Amino acid sequence: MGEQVSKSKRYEQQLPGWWVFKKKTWFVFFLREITCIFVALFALFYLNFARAIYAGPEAYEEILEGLRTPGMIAIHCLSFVAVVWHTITWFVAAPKAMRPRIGNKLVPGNAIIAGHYAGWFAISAILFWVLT
Amino acid sequence: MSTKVALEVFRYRPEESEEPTFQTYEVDCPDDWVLLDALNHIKNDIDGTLSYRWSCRMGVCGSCGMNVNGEPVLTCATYCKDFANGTVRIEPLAHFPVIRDLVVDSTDFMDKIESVKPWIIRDEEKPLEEGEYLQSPGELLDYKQYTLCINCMLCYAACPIYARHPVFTGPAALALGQRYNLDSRDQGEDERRSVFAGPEGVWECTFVGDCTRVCPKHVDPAGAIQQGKARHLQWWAKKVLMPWANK
Repeated sequence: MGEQVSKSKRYEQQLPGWWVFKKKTWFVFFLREITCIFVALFALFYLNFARAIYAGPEAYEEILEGLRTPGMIAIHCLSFVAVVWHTITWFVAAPKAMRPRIGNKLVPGNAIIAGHYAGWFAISAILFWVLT
Repeated sequence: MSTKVALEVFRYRPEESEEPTFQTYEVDCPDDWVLLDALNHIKNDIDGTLSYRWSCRMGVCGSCGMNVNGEPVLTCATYCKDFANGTVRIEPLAHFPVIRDLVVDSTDFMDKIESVKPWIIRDEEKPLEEGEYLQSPGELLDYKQYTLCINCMLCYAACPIYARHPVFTGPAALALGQRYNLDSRDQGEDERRSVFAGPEGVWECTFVGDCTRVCPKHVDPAGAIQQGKARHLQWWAKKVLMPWANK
Protein backbone atom coordinates (compact mmCIF):
# COMPACT_ATOMS: atom_id res chain seq x y z
CA MET A 1 0.00 0.00 0.00
CA GLY A 2 2.80 2.41 1.02
CA GLU A 3 4.61 1.65 -2.23
CA GLN A 4 1.41 2.32 -4.20
CA VAL A 5 1.00 5.74 -2.55
CA SER A 6 4.62 6.74 -3.13
CA LYS A 7 4.32 5.98 -6.84
CA SER A 8 1.13 7.95 -7.43
CA LYS A 9 1.24 11.35 -9.15
CA ARG A 10 1.27 14.54 -7.10
CA TYR A 11 -0.22 17.87 -8.08
CA GLU A 12 2.35 20.56 -7.24
CA GLN A 13 0.75 23.75 -5.93
CA GLN A 14 2.77 26.75 -7.06
CA LEU A 15 2.92 30.25 -5.66
CA PRO A 16 3.06 32.87 -8.44
CA GLY A 17 5.99 35.29 -8.78
CA TRP A 18 3.68 38.18 -7.80
CA TRP A 19 2.84 36.47 -4.50
CA VAL A 20 3.21 39.63 -2.38
CA PHE A 21 0.03 40.98 -3.98
CA LYS A 22 -1.94 37.81 -3.29
CA LYS A 23 -2.79 38.55 0.36
CA LYS A 24 -3.12 41.76 2.31
CA THR A 25 -0.79 40.52 5.05
CA TRP A 26 1.87 39.61 2.48
CA PHE A 27 1.58 43.04 0.86
CA VAL A 28 1.94 44.76 4.25
CA PHE A 29 5.05 42.62 4.82
CA PHE A 30 6.37 43.72 1.41
CA LEU A 31 5.82 47.40 2.25
CA ARG A 32 7.56 46.93 5.60
CA GLU A 33 10.56 45.36 3.88
CA ILE A 34 10.94 48.08 1.23
CA THR A 35 11.10 50.73 3.95
CA CYS A 36 14.67 49.39 4.39
CA ILE A 37 15.55 51.24 1.19
CA PHE A 38 14.58 54.54 2.79
CA VAL A 39 16.54 53.68 5.93
CA ALA A 40 19.59 53.08 3.69
CA LEU A 41 18.92 56.37 1.82
CA PHE A 42 18.79 58.28 5.11
CA ALA A 43 22.04 56.69 6.25
CA LEU A 44 23.77 57.53 2.95
CA PHE A 45 22.47 61.08 3.05
CA TYR A 46 23.78 61.69 6.56
CA LEU A 47 27.15 60.18 5.67
CA ASN A 48 27.33 62.65 2.79
CA PHE A 49 26.21 65.42 5.13
CA ALA A 50 29.02 64.56 7.57
CA ARG A 51 31.49 64.55 4.66
CA ALA A 52 30.31 68.05 3.63
CA ILE A 53 30.72 69.40 7.18
CA TYR A 54 34.26 67.99 7.22
CA ALA A 55 34.98 69.43 3.74
CA GLY A 56 34.25 72.99 4.80
CA PRO A 57 31.65 75.84 4.63
CA GLU A 58 31.31 75.81 0.84
CA ALA A 59 30.48 72.12 0.61
CA TYR A 60 28.09 72.48 3.54
CA GLU A 61 26.26 75.38 1.88
CA GLU A 62 26.06 73.38 -1.34
CA ILE A 63 24.33 70.52 0.50
CA LEU A 64 21.90 72.94 2.18
CA GLU A 65 21.10 74.51 -1.18
CA GLY A 66 20.33 71.09 -2.65
CA LEU A 67 18.04 70.31 0.27
CA ARG A 68 15.83 73.33 -0.46
CA THR A 69 14.59 71.92 -3.79
CA PRO A 70 10.99 70.58 -3.89
CA GLY A 71 12.20 67.12 -5.01
CA MET A 72 14.53 66.73 -2.02
CA ILE A 73 11.85 67.99 0.37
CA ALA A 74 9.38 65.41 -1.04
CA ILE A 75 11.95 62.59 -0.82
CA HIS A 76 12.77 63.51 2.77
CA CYS A 77 9.10 63.66 3.78
CA LEU A 78 8.52 60.22 2.22
CA SER A 79 11.69 58.84 3.77
CA PHE A 80 10.73 60.18 7.19
CA VAL A 81 7.34 58.43 7.08
CA ALA A 82 8.97 55.20 5.86
CA VAL A 83 11.69 55.26 8.53
CA VAL A 84 9.21 55.99 11.33
CA TRP A 85 7.02 53.13 10.13
CA HIS A 86 10.06 50.86 9.89
CA THR A 87 10.97 51.76 13.47
CA ILE A 88 7.45 51.13 14.75
CA THR A 89 7.32 47.69 13.08
CA TRP A 90 10.61 46.81 14.78
CA PHE A 91 9.22 47.86 18.16
CA VAL A 92 6.06 45.83 17.59
CA ALA A 93 8.24 42.83 16.69
CA ALA A 94 10.48 43.20 19.76
CA PRO A 95 8.32 41.11 22.15
CA LYS A 96 8.43 38.28 19.62
CA ALA A 97 12.22 38.17 19.61
CA MET A 98 12.65 38.54 23.36
CA ARG A 99 10.66 36.94 26.16
CA PRO A 100 12.37 38.11 29.36
CA ARG A 101 11.14 36.46 32.54
CA ILE A 102 11.23 37.83 36.06
CA GLY A 103 10.93 34.92 38.47
CA ASN A 104 7.94 32.89 37.40
CA LYS A 105 6.36 35.63 35.28
CA LEU A 106 7.06 36.70 31.71
CA VAL A 107 7.46 40.43 31.12
CA PRO A 108 4.31 41.55 29.21
CA GLY A 109 4.83 42.37 25.53
CA ASN A 110 3.36 45.87 25.96
CA ALA A 111 5.98 46.68 28.61
CA ILE A 112 8.75 45.67 26.17
CA ILE A 113 7.27 47.86 23.43
CA ALA A 114 6.85 50.76 25.88
CA GLY A 115 10.50 50.38 26.91
CA HIS A 116 11.59 50.69 23.29
CA TYR A 117 9.50 53.85 22.79
CA ALA A 118 10.91 55.32 26.02
CA GLY A 119 14.44 54.66 24.77
CA TRP A 120 13.65 56.19 21.39
CA PHE A 121 12.22 59.38 22.91
CA ALA A 122 15.04 59.64 25.45
CA ILE A 123 17.76 59.35 22.77
CA SER A 124 15.87 61.81 20.52
CA ALA A 125 15.60 64.31 23.41
CA ILE A 126 19.33 64.01 24.16
CA LEU A 127 20.21 64.54 20.49
CA PHE A 128 17.85 67.54 20.30
CA TRP A 129 19.48 69.03 23.42
CA VAL A 130 23.00 68.47 22.04
CA LEU A 131 22.23 69.89 18.59
CA THR A 132 20.30 73.03 19.66
CA MET B 1 -32.05 27.09 11.88
CA SER B 2 -30.00 26.17 8.84
CA THR B 3 -28.36 27.99 5.96
CA LYS B 4 -27.59 27.05 2.40
CA VAL B 5 -23.92 27.06 1.54
CA ALA B 6 -22.34 26.28 -1.82
CA LEU B 7 -19.08 24.44 -1.31
CA GLU B 8 -16.65 24.71 -4.22
CA VAL B 9 -14.41 21.77 -3.54
CA PHE B 10 -10.99 21.17 -5.10
CA ARG B 11 -10.94 17.81 -6.87
CA TYR B 12 -7.81 16.07 -8.04
CA ARG B 13 -8.00 12.50 -9.26
CA PRO B 14 -4.68 11.71 -10.92
CA GLU B 15 -6.04 8.62 -12.65
CA GLU B 16 -8.61 10.81 -14.48
CA SER B 17 -6.83 14.10 -15.11
CA GLU B 18 -3.49 15.73 -14.47
CA GLU B 19 -5.15 19.04 -13.71
CA PRO B 20 -7.42 19.70 -10.72
CA THR B 21 -10.99 20.93 -11.08
CA PHE B 22 -13.60 22.42 -8.75
CA GLN B 23 -16.88 20.70 -7.97
CA THR B 24 -19.75 22.59 -6.34
CA TYR B 25 -22.03 20.98 -3.76
CA GLU B 26 -25.08 22.79 -2.38
CA VAL B 27 -25.44 21.87 1.27
CA ASP B 28 -28.14 22.81 3.75
CA CYS B 29 -26.10 23.38 6.91
CA PRO B 30 -27.63 23.51 10.41
CA ASP B 31 -26.20 26.39 12.47
CA ASP B 32 -24.08 24.11 14.62
CA TRP B 33 -22.31 22.53 11.64
CA VAL B 34 -18.69 23.18 10.96
CA LEU B 35 -17.23 22.80 7.46
CA LEU B 36 -16.00 19.33 8.34
CA ASP B 37 -19.61 18.31 9.06
CA ALA B 38 -20.58 19.60 5.62
CA LEU B 39 -17.75 17.62 4.01
CA ASN B 40 -18.80 14.49 5.93
CA HIS B 41 -22.36 15.05 4.70
CA ILE B 42 -21.10 15.27 1.11
CA LYS B 43 -18.99 12.14 1.56
CA ASN B 44 -21.79 10.13 3.20
CA ASP B 45 -24.84 11.27 1.24
CA ILE B 46 -23.85 13.01 -2.00
CA ASP B 47 -20.48 11.92 -3.37
CA GLY B 48 -18.54 9.09 -1.77
CA THR B 49 -15.52 9.66 -4.02
CA LEU B 50 -14.43 12.82 -2.18
CA SER B 51 -11.17 12.32 -0.23
CA TYR B 52 -9.96 14.33 2.77
CA ARG B 53 -8.38 13.78 6.17
CA TRP B 54 -10.06 14.15 9.52
CA SER B 55 -10.13 12.46 12.89
CA CYS B 56 -10.98 14.07 16.25
CA ARG B 57 -13.47 16.81 15.22
CA MET B 58 -12.37 18.93 18.18
CA GLY B 59 -9.23 20.84 17.16
CA VAL B 60 -6.79 18.42 18.75
CA CYS B 61 -5.53 16.02 16.08
CA GLY B 62 -4.63 18.63 13.45
CA SER B 63 -5.79 16.42 10.55
CA CYS B 64 -8.54 18.50 8.96
CA GLY B 65 -6.55 21.58 7.98
CA MET B 66 -7.57 22.96 4.56
CA ASN B 67 -7.47 26.24 2.70
CA VAL B 68 -10.87 27.89 2.99
CA ASN B 69 -11.35 30.92 0.78
CA GLY B 70 -7.57 31.10 0.58
CA GLU B 71 -6.92 30.96 4.31
CA PRO B 72 -5.52 27.86 6.06
CA VAL B 73 -7.95 26.80 8.81
CA LEU B 74 -9.05 23.74 10.76
CA THR B 75 -12.35 22.78 9.14
CA CYS B 76 -13.56 21.35 12.45
CA ALA B 77 -13.33 24.85 13.95
CA THR B 78 -14.84 26.86 11.09
CA TYR B 79 -18.61 27.26 11.11
CA CYS B 80 -20.73 26.99 7.96
CA LYS B 81 -23.01 29.78 9.14
CA ASP B 82 -20.10 32.21 8.69
CA PHE B 83 -20.59 31.65 4.96
CA ALA B 84 -24.40 31.78 5.05
CA ASN B 85 -26.05 31.91 1.63
CA GLY B 86 -22.67 32.28 0.01
CA THR B 87 -19.96 30.27 -1.62
CA VAL B 88 -17.00 28.82 0.16
CA ARG B 89 -13.99 27.53 -1.73
CA ILE B 90 -12.29 24.56 -0.09
CA GLU B 91 -8.80 23.61 -1.26
CA PRO B 92 -6.03 21.41 0.09
CA LEU B 93 -3.48 23.08 2.36
CA ALA B 94 -1.43 25.38 0.16
CA HIS B 95 2.23 24.76 -0.71
CA PHE B 96 2.06 20.98 -0.25
CA PRO B 97 1.89 18.45 -3.10
CA VAL B 98 -1.64 17.07 -3.47
CA ILE B 99 -2.13 13.30 -3.49
CA ARG B 100 -5.88 13.32 -4.07
CA ASP B 101 -8.67 15.89 -3.68
CA LEU B 102 -8.02 17.57 -0.31
CA VAL B 103 -5.32 15.16 0.83
CA VAL B 104 -1.76 16.50 0.78
CA ASP B 105 1.56 14.72 1.03
CA SER B 106 2.98 15.53 4.47
CA THR B 107 6.24 13.56 4.10
CA ASP B 108 8.36 16.72 3.83
CA PHE B 109 6.76 18.14 6.96
CA MET B 110 7.41 14.93 8.92
CA ASP B 111 11.06 14.88 7.79
CA LYS B 112 11.48 18.49 8.91
CA ILE B 113 9.95 17.82 12.31
CA GLU B 114 12.44 14.97 12.79
CA SER B 115 15.38 17.10 11.58
CA VAL B 116 15.25 19.38 14.65
CA LYS B 117 15.64 16.38 17.01
CA PRO B 118 12.48 17.09 19.02
CA TRP B 119 13.42 15.22 22.15
CA ILE B 120 15.45 15.96 25.26
CA ILE B 121 19.14 15.42 24.63
CA ARG B 122 21.51 15.04 27.57
CA ASP B 123 25.28 15.02 27.51
CA GLU B 124 25.04 12.26 30.05
CA GLU B 125 21.92 10.72 31.54
CA LYS B 126 21.93 10.66 35.32
CA PRO B 127 21.13 7.32 37.01
CA LEU B 128 17.46 6.65 37.68
CA GLU B 129 18.03 6.44 41.43
CA GLU B 130 19.02 10.13 41.42
CA GLY B 131 15.43 10.97 40.55
CA GLU B 132 13.77 13.25 38.03
CA TYR B 133 15.15 16.43 36.48
CA LEU B 134 13.53 19.23 38.44
CA GLN B 135 12.22 22.38 36.80
CA SER B 136 10.72 25.57 38.23
CA PRO B 137 7.36 26.97 36.99
CA GLY B 138 9.32 29.85 35.46
CA GLU B 139 11.58 27.48 33.51
CA LEU B 140 8.46 25.68 32.26
CA LEU B 141 7.02 29.02 31.18
CA ASP B 142 10.04 29.63 28.91
CA TYR B 143 8.92 26.92 26.47
CA LYS B 144 5.36 25.89 27.40
CA GLN B 145 3.72 27.89 24.63
CA TYR B 146 5.69 25.93 22.02
CA THR B 147 4.48 22.57 23.35
CA LEU B 148 0.93 23.35 22.23
CA CYS B 149 1.55 22.64 18.53
CA ILE B 150 -0.76 19.98 17.06
CA ASN B 151 1.21 19.56 13.80
CA CYS B 152 -1.75 20.76 11.72
CA MET B 153 0.61 22.30 9.12
CA LEU B 154 -1.50 25.46 8.76
CA CYS B 155 1.63 27.53 9.40
CA TYR B 156 3.36 25.97 6.39
CA ALA B 157 0.31 26.67 4.23
CA ALA B 158 0.47 30.31 5.37
CA CYS B 159 4.21 30.74 4.85
CA PRO B 160 5.21 32.20 1.46
CA ILE B 161 8.88 31.54 2.24
CA TYR B 162 8.23 27.79 2.48
CA ALA B 163 6.27 28.00 -0.77
CA ARG B 164 9.09 29.77 -2.64
CA HIS B 165 11.91 27.86 -0.97
CA PRO B 166 10.65 24.43 0.16
CA VAL B 167 13.96 23.45 1.76
CA PHE B 168 13.22 26.00 4.52
CA THR B 169 12.76 23.99 7.72
CA GLY B 170 9.62 25.99 8.39
CA PRO B 171 7.60 27.39 11.30
CA ALA B 172 6.30 24.36 13.21
CA ALA B 173 9.58 22.41 13.10
CA LEU B 174 11.69 25.40 14.17
CA ALA B 175 9.23 26.28 16.95
CA LEU B 176 9.43 22.69 18.16
CA GLY B 177 13.22 22.75 18.08
CA GLN B 178 13.18 26.04 19.97
CA ARG B 179 10.88 24.42 22.53
CA TYR B 180 13.67 21.95 23.35
CA ASN B 181 16.43 24.56 23.15
CA LEU B 182 14.57 26.55 25.83
CA ASP B 183 13.96 23.52 28.06
CA SER B 184 16.23 23.72 31.11
CA ARG B 185 16.60 19.91 31.08
CA ASP B 186 17.92 19.84 27.52
CA GLN B 187 21.58 20.04 26.47
CA GLY B 188 21.13 19.44 22.74
CA GLU B 189 21.27 22.97 21.32
CA ASP B 190 24.68 22.36 19.73
CA GLU B 191 23.28 19.30 17.93
CA ARG B 192 20.34 21.31 16.58
CA ARG B 193 22.46 24.27 15.52
CA SER B 194 23.32 22.88 12.08
CA VAL B 195 19.60 22.92 11.24
CA PHE B 196 18.75 26.12 13.10
CA ALA B 197 21.62 28.24 11.85
CA GLY B 198 22.14 26.51 8.51
CA PRO B 199 20.95 27.79 5.12
CA GLU B 200 17.56 26.12 5.70
CA GLY B 201 17.07 27.39 9.23
CA VAL B 202 15.91 30.49 11.09
CA TRP B 203 17.70 32.98 8.84
CA GLU B 204 15.52 31.95 5.89
CA CYS B 205 12.53 33.43 7.73
CA THR B 206 11.79 37.02 6.72
CA PHE B 207 9.18 37.40 9.46
CA VAL B 208 6.03 37.64 7.37
CA GLY B 209 4.22 36.54 10.53
CA ASP B 210 1.31 34.71 8.91
CA CYS B 211 2.31 31.44 10.60
CA THR B 212 1.48 32.99 13.96
CA ARG B 213 -1.70 34.62 12.64
CA VAL B 214 -3.23 31.34 11.42
CA CYS B 215 -2.04 29.10 14.28
CA PRO B 216 -5.18 27.63 15.92
CA LYS B 217 -3.28 26.98 19.18
CA HIS B 218 -1.55 30.38 19.49
CA VAL B 219 1.87 28.78 19.46
CA ASP B 220 3.53 31.83 17.83
CA PRO B 221 6.06 30.06 15.62
CA ALA B 222 7.21 33.42 14.18
CA GLY B 223 8.20 34.49 17.69
CA ALA B 224 10.03 31.23 18.28
CA ILE B 225 12.02 31.72 15.08
CA GLN B 226 12.96 35.32 15.95
CA GLN B 227 14.13 34.11 19.36
CA GLY B 228 16.12 31.42 17.57
CA LYS B 229 17.83 34.16 15.55
CA ALA B 230 18.59 36.21 18.69
CA ARG B 231 19.93 33.10 20.42
CA HIS B 232 22.14 32.21 17.47
CA LEU B 233 23.50 35.77 17.32
CA GLN B 234 24.36 35.62 21.03
CA TRP B 235 26.13 32.29 20.52
CA TRP B 236 28.03 33.66 17.51
CA ALA B 237 29.04 36.89 19.29
CA LYS B 238 30.25 34.90 22.28
CA LYS B 239 32.21 32.61 19.98
CA VAL B 240 33.92 35.56 18.26
CA LEU B 241 34.47 37.80 21.30
CA MET B 242 35.16 35.12 23.90
CA PRO B 243 36.42 32.05 22.03
CA TRP B 244 37.65 30.48 25.24
CA ALA B 245 34.12 30.52 26.75
CA ASN B 246 32.65 28.03 24.26
CA LYS B 247 35.34 25.42 24.86
